[in-house]
Amino acid sequence: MRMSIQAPHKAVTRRAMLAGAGLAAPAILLGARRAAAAGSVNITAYDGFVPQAVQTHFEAATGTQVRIRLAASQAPELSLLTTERDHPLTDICTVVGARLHQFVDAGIIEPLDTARLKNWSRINPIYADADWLRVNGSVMAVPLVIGANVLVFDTHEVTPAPDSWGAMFDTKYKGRVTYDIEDFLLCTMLLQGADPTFVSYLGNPAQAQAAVNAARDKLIASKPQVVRFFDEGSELQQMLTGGDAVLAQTYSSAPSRLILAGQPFRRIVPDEGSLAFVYNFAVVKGAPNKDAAYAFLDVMLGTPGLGAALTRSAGYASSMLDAGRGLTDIEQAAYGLDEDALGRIRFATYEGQALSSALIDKAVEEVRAG
Amino acid sequence: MRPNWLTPAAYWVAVAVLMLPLGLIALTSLTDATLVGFPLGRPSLRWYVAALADPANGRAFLLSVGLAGLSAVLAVAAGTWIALATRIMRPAPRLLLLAGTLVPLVTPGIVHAIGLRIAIQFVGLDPGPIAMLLGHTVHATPLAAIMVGARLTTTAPGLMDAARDLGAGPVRAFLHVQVPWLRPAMVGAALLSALNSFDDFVRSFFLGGYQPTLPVLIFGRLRSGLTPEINALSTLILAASVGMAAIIAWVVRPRKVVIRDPEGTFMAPCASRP
Amino acid sequence: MSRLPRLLFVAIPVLWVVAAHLGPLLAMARISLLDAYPAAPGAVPVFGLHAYAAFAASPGYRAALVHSLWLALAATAIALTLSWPLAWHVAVHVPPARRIRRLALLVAPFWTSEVLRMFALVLLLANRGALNAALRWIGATNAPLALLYGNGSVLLGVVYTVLLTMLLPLFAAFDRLPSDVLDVATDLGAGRWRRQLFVVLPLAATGIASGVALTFLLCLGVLVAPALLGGAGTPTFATVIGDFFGAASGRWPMGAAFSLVLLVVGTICAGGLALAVRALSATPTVRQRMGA
Repeated sequence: MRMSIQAPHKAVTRRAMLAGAGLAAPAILLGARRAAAAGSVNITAYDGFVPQAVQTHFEAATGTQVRIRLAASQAPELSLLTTERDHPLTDICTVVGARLHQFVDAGIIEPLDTARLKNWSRINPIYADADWLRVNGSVMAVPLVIGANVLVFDTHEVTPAPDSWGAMFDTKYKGRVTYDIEDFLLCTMLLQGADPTFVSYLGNPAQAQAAVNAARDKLIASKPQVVRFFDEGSELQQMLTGGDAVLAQTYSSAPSRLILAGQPFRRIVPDEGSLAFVYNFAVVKGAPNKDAAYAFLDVMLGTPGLGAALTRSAGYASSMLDAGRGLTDIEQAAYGLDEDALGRIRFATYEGQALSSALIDKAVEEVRAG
Repeated sequence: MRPNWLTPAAYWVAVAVLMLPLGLIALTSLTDATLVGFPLGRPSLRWYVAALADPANGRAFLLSVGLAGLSAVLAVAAGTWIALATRIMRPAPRLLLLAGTLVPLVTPGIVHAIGLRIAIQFVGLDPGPIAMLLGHTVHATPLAAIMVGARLTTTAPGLMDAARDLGAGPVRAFLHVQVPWLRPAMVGAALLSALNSFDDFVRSFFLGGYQPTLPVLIFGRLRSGLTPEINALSTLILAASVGMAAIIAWVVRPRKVVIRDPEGTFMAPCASRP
Repeated sequence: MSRLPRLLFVAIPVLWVVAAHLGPLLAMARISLLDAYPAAPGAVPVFGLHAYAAFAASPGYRAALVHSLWLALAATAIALTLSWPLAWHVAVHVPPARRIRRLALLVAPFWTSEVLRMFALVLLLANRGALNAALRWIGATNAPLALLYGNGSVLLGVVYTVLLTMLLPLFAAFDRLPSDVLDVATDLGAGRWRRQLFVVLPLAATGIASGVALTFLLCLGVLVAPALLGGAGTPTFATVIGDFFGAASGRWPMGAAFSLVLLVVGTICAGGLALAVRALSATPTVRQRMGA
């Protein structure tokens, strides 16, 4: 007697369901791919660096699509652009002033032809004419927003209000301090009277090494001060609101949201001063849509109210001549940098970075491991 | 098996504990404050409205889902094929094949991602959805190969022969006898692959083009700080996934297997094992 | 199967694995031997083993590797202990009709981004987080407990990340256990623990071994949990590698070399763990006594 096992009506097995979902996917994937290239300008930017108003305005005015790829920080962006250096997929990328040297040496960005930007004069000359923006006399990028290293503290827990980087080493706050190692090495150098721009050590690498070593050793010796090191602003925010840190060195936009929300934090530029970092848009070497890139940059610079729009969406003071216009007082307090503070801020230069970056990278590793 | 009370209790406790962090994410999103943290602000749905209103969120979600589904299917297919091939290979080549299969699993994410990014240049593939699909599939294949392979070794030795003796051709025997035996492992592997793909950040970042997946989008936004909108978005996705899973589970609910012979002399229903 | 189809059946996956799995690895191996990647424009690439030498010469890097291995071992052990009863319950106690639903409930939390789940742990464990708030509310403590940013929180984060990778293989292994063997063992008087150790473990050894090995390997590569939940102590090896790739191109060969080191060491240890599970299961079993 022959028995046939009749498979039940398992028409819809689990695998089939997953397969169905999977097969619907190519339509989405291929669609996404085709929507790609024709007539667009491709930007690798941090979140908020291209205000929505600018994007809409440009697309309406020129019919060219603006495509944005998000980067969260310089390190992964540098890795990504390095891997595609010989065949770039980006026209414009975000470069922080302190990393300009790395991007230039890696052959990722090219000098900017400012003659093609009619609205170049809308940028505050402090940035537009700055030394650090130039390599061999050529402007390398369009400065957009400026931040600096600041000292942030919980006004309830940290008294009296500090005015020096030395407060970070006060054992009263042991285990409740946090910082970004790379940036804080430079701030410590300021505290120790050294030159974090490395300009005075040019031609004297031994002196530069000694200065870095002094800062590094101080950090290693005072490691018990630290609850942890952080890399991202969101980590710092959680540490501050969660109460695990009361004192921190950070970049200036990280505490802004907290201050805006009325939480008890203040940020200052200490008396010794601080290092600025300016975020710029640079044109990528071998960019596939170079003309569109220049058109975009020019339209962006010419957008009325760009300063305030950039500040609100990116969280930093802008580099525009009309930077403060349109911002409310509390926004200015949360995002802006006052005249006094600006006076104490220094900028790194290309030559200085060439000397410092290898030394600093190594010192960061040593602090992390020590 | 007589169930005791301890393991069911442990199960429900585990579910509660695993859900707890998600509960926190949802809780901190139902606020009108601009910050995530305690104390909570006033209850409000404004961030859910904002998350739903942003078209970038929807596009990223669809891309992530599409990649997850497709890469899971491809990874399970590849993993099963590899597992089957190892069964009929001699010990030395089998070991080599297994070792090679495992490589993507052992490599740390960022290293694998950069390696893939460089490797695809050799075949002229540009970063984008296809490259991401490749990356996710390659990442998930080792898991699938191992899970299916482990299940495969427990196949009753004479099973396939019995099927062939009963008149089934090789393909039919495979599909109707071997595959059902492997199905729990395949389902588990598909689930895990889909989840890994959906969650994956580092491969999607390096292999992606200008359309971000959800994790890449969220990561980019995290720089400015954790916002209730990000939490609202995640809660929405969780709800959508649970809903989808519930629908799938209902559609593929197990049904009875009926054994029937042509003469109709013997008919017996028996509960199937899913 | 006859000759040619059999050959093709084996050759295709082999070719795929070589191209797709080994290709990226070979790219990395090549980078690990260079002095910089990509070479600066106009520079001639130099090959050598200096990246590996740098690893061997530095106690700090070796310490980071050992730290990662211990962390992975601990997390794997905890994940195994937690997953076993859960997988057992769903695979064996729950009636088949409800099995997938019960499994789905366990799996659902993992449909959130890994980064957000870690941030959720921060929200839970911070000084002003949910747990401390709850403890203070019920009066158990006055000062907040420092639960975060230490080895404990990293361990918790890693386990929370990899739990599923342990759970699903265990479920698959338990799912196909022949129920009659378990019933016989119970009837013969074996208590719960003896059943698990002497009956379940040998029968499910392959599945358990694969889950353990997979989980261990995954733990070695986890980046997010140590980054967000860790303190100022020793970084994990994966973090060290990640930092290399974020630096100038002169550091990339270090990252590549370190990843190969992690690959080799990790595979050896995972293989050892799998063998250990198999060895543990080679005890006299009911199956042997039954002559199966």
